[in-house]
Amino acid sequence: MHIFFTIVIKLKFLNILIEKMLYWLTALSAGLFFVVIILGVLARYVTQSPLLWSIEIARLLFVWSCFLAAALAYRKKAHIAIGLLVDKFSPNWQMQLEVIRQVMVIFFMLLIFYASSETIFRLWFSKLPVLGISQAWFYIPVPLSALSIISFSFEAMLRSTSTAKPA
Amino acid sequence: MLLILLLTFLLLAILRLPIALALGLAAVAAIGFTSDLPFTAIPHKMVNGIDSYVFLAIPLFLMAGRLMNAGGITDRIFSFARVIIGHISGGLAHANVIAGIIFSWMSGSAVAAVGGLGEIELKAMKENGFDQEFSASVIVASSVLGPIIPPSIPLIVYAAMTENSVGKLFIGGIIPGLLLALSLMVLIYFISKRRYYPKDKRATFKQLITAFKDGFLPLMMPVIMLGGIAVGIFTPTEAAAVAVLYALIISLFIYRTINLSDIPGILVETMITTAVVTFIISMTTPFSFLLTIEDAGEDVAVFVTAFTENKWVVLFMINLLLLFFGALMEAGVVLILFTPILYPLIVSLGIDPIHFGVVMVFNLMIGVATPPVGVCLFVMSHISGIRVETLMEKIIPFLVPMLLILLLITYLPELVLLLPNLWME
Repeated sequence: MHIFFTIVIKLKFLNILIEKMLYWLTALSAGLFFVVIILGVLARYVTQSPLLWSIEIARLLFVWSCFLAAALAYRKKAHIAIGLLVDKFSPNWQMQLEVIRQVMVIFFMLLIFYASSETIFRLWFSKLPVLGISQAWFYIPVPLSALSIISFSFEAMLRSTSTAKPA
Repeated sequence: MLLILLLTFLLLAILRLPIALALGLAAVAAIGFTSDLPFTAIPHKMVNGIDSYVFLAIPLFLMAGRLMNAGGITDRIFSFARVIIGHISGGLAHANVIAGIIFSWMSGSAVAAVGGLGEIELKAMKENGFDQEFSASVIVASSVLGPIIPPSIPLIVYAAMTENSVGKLFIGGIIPGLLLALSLMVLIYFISKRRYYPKDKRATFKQLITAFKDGFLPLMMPVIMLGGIAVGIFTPTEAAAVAVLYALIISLFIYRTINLSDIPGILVETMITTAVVTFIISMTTPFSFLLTIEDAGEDVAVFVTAFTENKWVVLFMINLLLLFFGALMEAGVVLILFTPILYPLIVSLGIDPIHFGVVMVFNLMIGVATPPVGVCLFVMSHISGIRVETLMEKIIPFLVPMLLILLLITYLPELVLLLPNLWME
């Protein structure tokens, strides 16, 4: 039992750290895509020379902020789920179910982590048309987000197992 | 494959797994058990699904609305609306609808409207002698206007998923939105007459000027945004960014309601709200890719057209279907799940995609105000302390005009298409 609690506490600290990192990366990429779009408008109307790279980079930053924020949303339990049926179960059953759900999430995210890493390696040498950087940049937030969700999920699962009684 | 895909999704969704993850896992199961596609197809589609310049408008419009909300701007809008319309029978209730219209021009979501305007409106109506349950229903009903009158998050989602023009869809929502507002006001007028609800004294010219001056800066925002889109100066995404810039300048420097240090928090909150939507879209893409491989969309089209090729009958059935699912599930989820399935059908029947987009969003928005899962009902119940069950009962009269206008815009496509055809192209 002692080791179990040490793991939970360590995980908790790790997750607070991850959450902070996600928070600032999301704020940064969201702030930047806003600035880039404004610059694009200004360039077109003020200096009369459209910035071709602005759309591509805004899209890239948007994809980053979406996947990072998706992990944050998972932490905050903000993702939409349908609770019509399950909400009627007994608390103990719900706790058991929560563990099963977290196991499924971890399995899925491991798979996404693996598949997206492979995609990144495969695309490493193909370049984006305007920016000239690797296409893989679009996929990098996916494994980052997957790893964060796995870590969040582990903590949630360990918490549930420590409170749920065997049925 | 289809069977595994759909069954896995349903099972996982019922177990209360987030919809997005249920979609993703269903795709994994379908690929793993029944095909030799590589799993790398999933992250590939996930990124492709949201890598669209149009989607950038979602967080930007949300942020503009949030910034406007942060600084007492809702107060100004409400007083402005009250001065204009307060002297009609049921005055404050009408002011509610008008404020709802104005607020809709700035924000793209219904929940934002209830959250933003709800509290002040409720308080003002209580002080004026309206009963709380009526006030709450009026507020919920007018919140439906948010995503129908442009800008609109669901219309952006529809546009990006079907590669239609956001601008046209936005402009197409104007007449249906105004019709809905008008019909709500007619209803309010008759209820207020019968129950002797109070009205304000007619505002003097001086009061009108003051209210207009106070509301001027926020009122200019939709003008800049939609004017820019309609005239073709901005793309919708750019218009949204300009709206954010405008709202930032107002709230940072003129009203001074936020500090620079609040901005990261606002950005992250906005992105979390956005990610909840884009994560579902992202996970729907591999899911609907598998549906496409199996020709599911075409099968649906063939299946339906075997019964009838009359597009008006099909539209009626689609409306019933969407009302049903819209009542059971979050509007955004239904929109994202059903658009790829229904779109081939309506195109094959020669229904205008702009017309259909507006009808579909209008239909689903009724769901935010209906039991059992209407989000706005829950938000309102939270704000007002009225039980959700009571609200669900009191909202029923307001559903009548909503359904009537839905029927009207379904069968008179001109109501949707008139303005886009007039202004654009």
